[in-house]
Amino acid sequence: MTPPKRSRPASSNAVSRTPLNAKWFQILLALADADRHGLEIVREVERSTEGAMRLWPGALYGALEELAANGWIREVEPPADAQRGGNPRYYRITASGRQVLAAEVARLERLLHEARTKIASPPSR
Amino acid sequence: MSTPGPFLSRLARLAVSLYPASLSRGHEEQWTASLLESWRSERRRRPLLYPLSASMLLAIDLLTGHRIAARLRRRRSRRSRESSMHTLLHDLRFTLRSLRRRPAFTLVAIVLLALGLAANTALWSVVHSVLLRPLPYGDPDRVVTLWSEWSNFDQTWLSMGEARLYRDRVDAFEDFAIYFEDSASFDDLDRPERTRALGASANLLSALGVEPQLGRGFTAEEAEKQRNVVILSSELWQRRYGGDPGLVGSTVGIEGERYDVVGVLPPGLDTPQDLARALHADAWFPLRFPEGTVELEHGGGNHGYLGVGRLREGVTVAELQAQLDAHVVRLAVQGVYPDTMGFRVNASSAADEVVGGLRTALLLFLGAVFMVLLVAVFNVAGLSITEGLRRTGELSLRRALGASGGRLVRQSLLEALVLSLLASGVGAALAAGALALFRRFAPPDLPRLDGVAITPFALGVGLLLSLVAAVLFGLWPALWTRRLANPSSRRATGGRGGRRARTLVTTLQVALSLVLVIGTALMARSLAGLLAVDPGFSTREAATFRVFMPTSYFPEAAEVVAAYERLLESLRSEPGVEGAGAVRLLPLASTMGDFGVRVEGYEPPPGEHPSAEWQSVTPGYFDALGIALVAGRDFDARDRSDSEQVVIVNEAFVRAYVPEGEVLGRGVRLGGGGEHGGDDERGWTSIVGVVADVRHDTILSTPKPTWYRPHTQFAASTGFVARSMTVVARTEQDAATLGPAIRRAADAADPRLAVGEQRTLSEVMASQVAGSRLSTFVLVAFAGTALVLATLGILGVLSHLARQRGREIAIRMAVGARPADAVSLVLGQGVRMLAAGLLLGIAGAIAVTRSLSNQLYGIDPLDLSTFAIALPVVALAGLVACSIPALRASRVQPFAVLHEE
Repeated sequence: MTPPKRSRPASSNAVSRTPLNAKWFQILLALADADRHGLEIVREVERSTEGAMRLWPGALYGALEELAANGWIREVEPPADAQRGGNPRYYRITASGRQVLAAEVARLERLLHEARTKIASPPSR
Repeated sequence: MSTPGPFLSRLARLAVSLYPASLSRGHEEQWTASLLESWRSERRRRPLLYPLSASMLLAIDLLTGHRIAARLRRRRSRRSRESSMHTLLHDLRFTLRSLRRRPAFTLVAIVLLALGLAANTALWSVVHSVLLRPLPYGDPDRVVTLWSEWSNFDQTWLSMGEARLYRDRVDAFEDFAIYFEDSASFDDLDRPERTRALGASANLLSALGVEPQLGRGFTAEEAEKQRNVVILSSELWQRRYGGDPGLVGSTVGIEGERYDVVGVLPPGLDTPQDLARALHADAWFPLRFPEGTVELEHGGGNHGYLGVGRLREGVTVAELQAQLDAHVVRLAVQGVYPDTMGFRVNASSAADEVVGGLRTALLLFLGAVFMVLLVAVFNVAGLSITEGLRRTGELSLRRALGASGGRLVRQSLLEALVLSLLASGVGAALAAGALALFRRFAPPDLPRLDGVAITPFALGVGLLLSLVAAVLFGLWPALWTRRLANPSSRRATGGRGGRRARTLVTTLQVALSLVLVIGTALMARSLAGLLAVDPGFSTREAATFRVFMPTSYFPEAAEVVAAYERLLESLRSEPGVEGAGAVRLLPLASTMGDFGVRVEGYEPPPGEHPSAEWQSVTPGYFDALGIALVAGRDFDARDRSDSEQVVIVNEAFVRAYVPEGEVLGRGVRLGGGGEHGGDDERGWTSIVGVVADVRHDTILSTPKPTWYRPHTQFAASTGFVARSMTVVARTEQDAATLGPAIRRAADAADPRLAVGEQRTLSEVMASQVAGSRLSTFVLVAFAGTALVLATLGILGVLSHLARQRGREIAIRMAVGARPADAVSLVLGQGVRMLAAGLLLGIAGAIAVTRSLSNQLYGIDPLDLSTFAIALPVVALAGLVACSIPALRASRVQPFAVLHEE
């Protein structure tokens, strides 16, 4: 008799990829609300990290290639209203990219919650 | 956003070019823009330090980019490996589908290859079981056998005195044991059973390096005192005593006495000499083999023992042989062995003893069977080349659609591999069947036959051969398929290349077939020669069986003689039996030693010791076996033990020792040296008859001088009565039906008697030619297969050729060529191919048949007439194959063909 197989939770694959590389996290986050091209991503990351993370081209485009290879983002046609010129590449987060992102956010939430709890309760002597 | 200065822009473009091209290619503009923005951002943040910090950050980012690019490369190559696996699976599916679409080709290819592979697997099983499987001894490489050699006797026994010297004085031996061949009649359990037995020295088991399965070996004391102890074979223990472990330590009944069973041998254990002749002994009795050495008498003494030695660690058979030679020279100098005797003692490894004689024949078969496989492979290669030609269009199309040349070759190889593996599966099954046939038809005296089975080793060889075959018939077509399918090459070129390949293949097939047919014809003629050899007796219907009259039932010689008379009398009175007689050793069923003789009026040249083979026979023996009486009379009731001492000799005896004068009435004294014949007067006998020569040891032995004494008087010459004799009963009916009559006759002598070796005379004869018959049978099968395959090959290639040139032929005929021209066009091509093949085959046969020479009897391996017979056989088959497509070509309807085009 073999025990019945339990199906793995859908997010388990995403969870297994956390903690997420900080650059990947920021890029996925930058794409979470809109399709963006490379420079827009750089600017969005710089804005949301308050200038703490500046993506140079090697890190940026390298990360984009890897995220695409992971199937978490994909290149899309530029939106109709986009300014032409420079032939920029636009990226969109995929469903599995969103799962990974959500898993990382959940992890950070747990971390944050623990941190708050620790700060709130003074050490017992 | 300020536009960057030209200097900065150029610097940025330079920096971008330092990034891995695999990331930035095609997007340099955005990279430059991104770089400039990072640069500006850094300048905003650190207005003073920025040239330094930006350069550092750039350097870090360059490293990052390269690291990521490397990571992606690794990932891609892994992915592409996976995808090539995927392509392979796809190709495999494609291959299977494509083979299913061509069932005729697939089936024919598998059958052809399976036949070739089956023959190879079966034969490798035999080779493995017989030649390569280690002998059932401890450290079998160290076990050796010894045989004496005399002029006129290549292989005879050892004497007790010699054996003691070898044991104690020959340093190469760690141990040396002897035994003699005997028989035993078990008479307990109300079921008399006669078996072969050995009288074995106590150290025989340790010389063989074997422990008994149960119990122990003989002790020196048991051998010295000749106790009633016995070691049983595992087979007898199982068969007769149901494998009862309690038998060891209890007793069994043998010839009216009780014997203690001290041990049971391991299953399948026999001495090397027995294994070599497929003989088996069911009981071992202790043989005295006294310690210490004795002075050898002239000639070394009585030779009747077989020797088995165990070499010291690290000593070779050649070293042993050198020591033995030196030893014999020493004894010769002392006058033990005069030069004229030509005495030698020969050592051989147990493996050589057992299978040495078979090695050549088996290697020969392996060669033949490999040729059959090659022919089959060539046929399949030819088929797939034709297939390739037919599929030129498809392949070119696939090539044009982007299939790489490598991929087409791979698919072609894959197809070959799939066919080969399927064929090797079918072949293994066929091989099992072939082995069953082999076991059924193999000569019963083939060593180690019972162990012959399909072995994993042979299956491995079969698989390996199938892979070799796959490469052979897959790669060749594949390589030029590739060339053919190359869109830049013109179709006609490929066609010609393919035709050349097929022509070559067919030529080789014809050549190989011719080699096999010539080899087979040689073997067949040799067999015919063997069958035509006159053994000196008639081989009409007769039953033979062996009986032993033990001392415990018949203590006196006269009682033995009387018992045999009762037995023969009873047999002669059976309906259907026309005559019966008994002999000490039946020709072609035993080996014979010799005995010294002195013949009245014959003065041997100095150094020569006249000797003759010695037989004891009852009246009626010569008649029963159909041995012609040339002069004088047969023995009859007149020849009693106390009447005149008489002897019958054969023609070889007369030629050797009575070259002139009256033969009948001449005196012969048996036991030339005086040690056997008693004193001078009593030893003399008188010749009363001369009979025809009989070949004794084998069908090819030269008849030696032989004397026959009446059974009643035999003891007077030798000092003992022949207790063990073979009875021959001649009949007009089927000799195999005489079983009940034989038992009744044995009962008439004594109901306790066991009957052994019951065979018809034709079975005795057949066993002599069984080896040769099997070889011929196997080779006929191989050569026949090869010939059929080659014929099909010619047929295939010419048919294809005729079809290919159908348009040319049609045009020629349209402009006035006659059908005969079309015939000669196709035929010419075929005949050229055939002629080349035949020439090549003759050359091959000359090279190969020499290795047959010691398998052949009475025929030269380069026998011209055999070549002259084989050549037309193959040529005729080839011409038939040529003529079919040629005739078809002549019936071409020009306009129909041209219309089709």
